Amino acid sequence: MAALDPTIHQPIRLSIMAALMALEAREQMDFTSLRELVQATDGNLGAHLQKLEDAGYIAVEKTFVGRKPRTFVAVTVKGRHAFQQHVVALREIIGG
Amino acid sequence: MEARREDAQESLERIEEVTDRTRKLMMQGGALLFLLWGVVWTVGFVVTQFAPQPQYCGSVWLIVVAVGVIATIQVSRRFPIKSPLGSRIGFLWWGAYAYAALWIALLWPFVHVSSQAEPQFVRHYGAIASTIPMFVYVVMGLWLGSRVLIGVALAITAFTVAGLFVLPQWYWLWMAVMGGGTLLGTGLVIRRKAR
Repeated sequence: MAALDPTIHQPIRLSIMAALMALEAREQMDFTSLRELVQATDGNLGAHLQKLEDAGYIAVEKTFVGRKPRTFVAVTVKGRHAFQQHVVALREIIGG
Repeated sequence: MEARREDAQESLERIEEVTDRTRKLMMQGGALLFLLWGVVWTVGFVVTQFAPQPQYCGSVWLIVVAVGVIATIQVSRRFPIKSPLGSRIGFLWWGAYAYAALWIALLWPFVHVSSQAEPQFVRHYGAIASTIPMFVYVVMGLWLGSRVLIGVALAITAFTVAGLFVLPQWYWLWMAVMGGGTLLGTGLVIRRKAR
């Protein structure tokens, strides 16, 4: 039986992971779009991203597009696996 | 236990909702590029059809394509999603433009002279130039796994060839409607789905 992952289960972090999981492998999403998708503030999103990054579930890349700094976020292989296990656990709870 | 089940159900619904919104966000950039190139094609071909001085059509195309390329680069920079294929697609486009420029330069004296007696050469020349970006669309579609891109490219390629035989006198208008119109229509449909 799969177990719920407490790092992912928090609603904002769950939304972040769901958004990143909708991308193809190695694709990255920019911080602003992610903030709009998960409906969080800058500070709130930053704090949750830090927790997911500490767990090794996401990778954050700060870069420049033209002269503007932009932050891109992608899910890691470990994060992808953890999210899939978390969804299995959620489905087991509903099914069980 | 019931509370735990409700919580799980809520989480799954949240995942589905965010996934759906993410997919829609990804579609918006593609829709904008279809609309942009639909306008470029429509303007370019309408001007080519009705230009009182056809010798200036080449310059018109240079301007509209340059505007299209600059706008595409600006739109792509603002895309919310960065793909590892992005730079590869960029190189593919530059390669295709270089290939097209080479053939345009090589064939131009021949087309210019022969078009006086055989106007269909100019149409054939335009048809070849129109199918090059469609070939790039097919390659991009294969890389990105986009059936829409492949379908649009194959349809426009078929219209491009068919127009040479169906409506030769109105070929450029045919291309504005069938080529530009297909791009615009695809952009509008995708934009509507992405709402």
